[in-house]
Amino acid sequence: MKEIELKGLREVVYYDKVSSGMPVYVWKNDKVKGVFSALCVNYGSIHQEFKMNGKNKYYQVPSGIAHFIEHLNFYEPDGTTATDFYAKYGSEVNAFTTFDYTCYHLYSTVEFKANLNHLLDFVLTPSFNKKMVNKEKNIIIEELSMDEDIPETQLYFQHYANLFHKYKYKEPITGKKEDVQNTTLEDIELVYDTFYHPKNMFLIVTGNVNPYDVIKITEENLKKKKLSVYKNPKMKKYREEASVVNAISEISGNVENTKLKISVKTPLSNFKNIDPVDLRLITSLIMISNFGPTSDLKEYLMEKELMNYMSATRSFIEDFLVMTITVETKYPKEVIKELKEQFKKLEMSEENLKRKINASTAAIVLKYDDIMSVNNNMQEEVLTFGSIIENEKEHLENITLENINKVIKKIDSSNMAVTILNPKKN
Amino acid sequence: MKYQKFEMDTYNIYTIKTNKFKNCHMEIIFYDNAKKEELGLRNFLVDMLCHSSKKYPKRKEVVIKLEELYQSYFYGVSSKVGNMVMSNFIYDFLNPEFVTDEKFLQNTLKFPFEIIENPNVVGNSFDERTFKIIQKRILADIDSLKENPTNYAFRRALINMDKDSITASSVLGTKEEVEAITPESLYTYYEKFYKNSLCNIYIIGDLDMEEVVKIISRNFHNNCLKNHRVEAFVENKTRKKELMVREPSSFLQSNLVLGFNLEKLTKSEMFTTLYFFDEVLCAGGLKSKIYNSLREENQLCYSVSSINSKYDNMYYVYVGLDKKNVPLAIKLIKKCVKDMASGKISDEEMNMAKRQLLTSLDIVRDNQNSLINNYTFHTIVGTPLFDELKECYKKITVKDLKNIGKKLRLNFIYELESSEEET
Repeated sequence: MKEIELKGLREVVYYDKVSSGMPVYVWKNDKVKGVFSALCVNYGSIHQEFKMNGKNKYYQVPSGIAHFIEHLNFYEPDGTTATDFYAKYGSEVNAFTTFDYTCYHLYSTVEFKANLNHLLDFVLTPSFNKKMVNKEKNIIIEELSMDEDIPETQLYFQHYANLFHKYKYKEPITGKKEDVQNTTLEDIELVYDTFYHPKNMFLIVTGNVNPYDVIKITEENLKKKKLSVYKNPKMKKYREEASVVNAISEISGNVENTKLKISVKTPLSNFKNIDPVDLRLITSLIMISNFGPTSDLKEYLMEKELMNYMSATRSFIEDFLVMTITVETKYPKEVIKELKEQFKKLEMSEENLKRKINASTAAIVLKYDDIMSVNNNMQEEVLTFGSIIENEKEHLENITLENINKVIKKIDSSNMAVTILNPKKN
Repeated sequence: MKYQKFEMDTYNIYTIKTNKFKNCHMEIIFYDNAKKEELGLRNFLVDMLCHSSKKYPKRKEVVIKLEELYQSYFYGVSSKVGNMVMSNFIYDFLNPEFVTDEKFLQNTLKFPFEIIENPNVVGNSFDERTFKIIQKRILADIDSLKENPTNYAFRRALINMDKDSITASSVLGTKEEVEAITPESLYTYYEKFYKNSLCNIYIIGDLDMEEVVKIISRNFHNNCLKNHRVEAFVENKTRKKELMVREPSSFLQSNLVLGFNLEKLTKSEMFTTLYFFDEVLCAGGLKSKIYNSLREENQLCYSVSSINSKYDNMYYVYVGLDKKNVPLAIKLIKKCVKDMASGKISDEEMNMAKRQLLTSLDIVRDNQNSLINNYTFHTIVGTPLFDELKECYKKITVKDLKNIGKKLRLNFIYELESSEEET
């Protein structure tokens, strides 16, 4: 087992890969009582076309199938559900699906061994049949109707449709009603058999637990399983154009005030010589400095009463950096003009950088506190970088104004998409 | 964990010393009896005080100061708990152990009091610029209540139940009330709020609490004596026959709310048994009676929720579903409640609920905010501390739950009807 020392944080993450190929990460905190375990599958809603076993044939499955499997996996072969099992221990079990992966998670305070063993058992023991597929369709359709009634969801997916020509991020994670209706038992079995294999999964455990126990339990559990030969699936890579689909698009929905999103889409190939960890930290600092609560722009928009709320995020979506501002406003035209101008003059002062680095360092220290949020952060790092970042604090402390300006120069601020969600006219 | 109370002349400081967390969490709570006509003012004031101050007149200056204090967070929340209104000024900061600056604790603890006690006031009036920003934001918040089907269905349901009850009032106030507030009237209210509200300070962290108390007492100048009684509970009217209301909406799903009066619950029933009852009936996830009936057996919905609004003496069940399934959902929910009142509760259901509640107690004991919340209501209303609660749950029987079931009386059934045509 490897001990990954997180430099400058006085924290250690334990790592091992069990013989069946599953990477396991453990962060121990014996000051708390609980243990949070997350078993993740590298399969999410965007993975709709794939090939396997080194062959060239692509398989296509309906949108929303990752989420569908997440629902079905809770049914156990003996007619009970995973929830029934965990109720015996009072443990909290649940799951979620994102664009990129599916996560089954568990919060337990007693009988850790039995709890973890069952997590590995129910996720890796399929028991699907037509009856349960049909039953679950109704429940999932209610779930997606619920999501469709949330205006932010409507704006989010429309905005991605304006940004991406080919990427599947524009489709709801649940799929649309017709996708759910058209999903068959065969589709589900195909995806499950291809992706639900220890080599395509990872386990993260955080809390009051002995890391050696976690590895031992996982190793022994998986050794007992008759695992099929790994099919080594490869997702279809889409060649996404650098340009946005629509520079501006307007929709209407159940909102009282207009909400809008504006994003700048930049190919990652622009940042070839910049370390990926640095790039993430630097772009985050750029966004918060130019559009966050300490920015002149936000203060100006508030003072002029041009907006009610504004938030700034940046994401890395396959081959692109996407920097997004979300605003609630009654004056979309004026706000869009200001935001576009700010994107064209992104900046950072030496004083601001120093302060932001100090503040972000404190935030990194606090990342290792609550066992659930530590686990979520670790999931994100494993998904993004393939492992835990050992020296995030060092990376942050070494960022210079020169690095920041280098990144700013490479941001393609002319390549923008704006999506406006207006109130419905009565 | 070490719980301590420090009695100051005009307020108390409650501390929990624990080394479980790297973060420290403090809440300065002003509380009082809720007055319907003052709710909007009070919420406005809390927003106003947190936004800026005399020393930091712009929002960005407040945030810059918080960044200098190693990414501390400061914000305010107004809430209505039954008949009580609470204004919490919340401050999160890094444990000084991780900071080389020896004066960090002193400097960081000074900050929230500096903000609350020195607002940006000119003469007898809050500064116009910040006032306008906050007013506009609150008016937008009131508007956006309509955007969320759950929140809107609840608002409408409670107004239909009894528009004069404090339970039906929004903590934001109405648009008319917020529009009528002026920088002068807000300042007048600030003085009244500061003088009249009861005040407690709660703090959790790995800190020298004696030192913390000394620093707070140097920086907090709350010196008005108050000894009036705060009555947290609301007696909402009951009905002989339940009210049924259906209102149109443009949402895809229908949103159904059933409201039940809780009649004459004892304190012990309210603070312990009712949680157990709720766990078996609805809150216990997929294995609870209502969840199992609506989702697992009939596939009517994705999720169903309940709210144990004990201080309002109310209990609500809420579900979003297809319009055509509303009558069946009502029938099934009523049946589940009836089963509880007649004691149709299996040993398995009892054991499951008990285990889940005991685990939940272990989980919340690992969470700073939950620990502070539990200590707050323990000191203000007398709810049990988590450790006491554990013992109480172990003793609860089917008969206890049956008794609660008999004290639930259906008050209303409200449907915010979907705009979709029935299929």
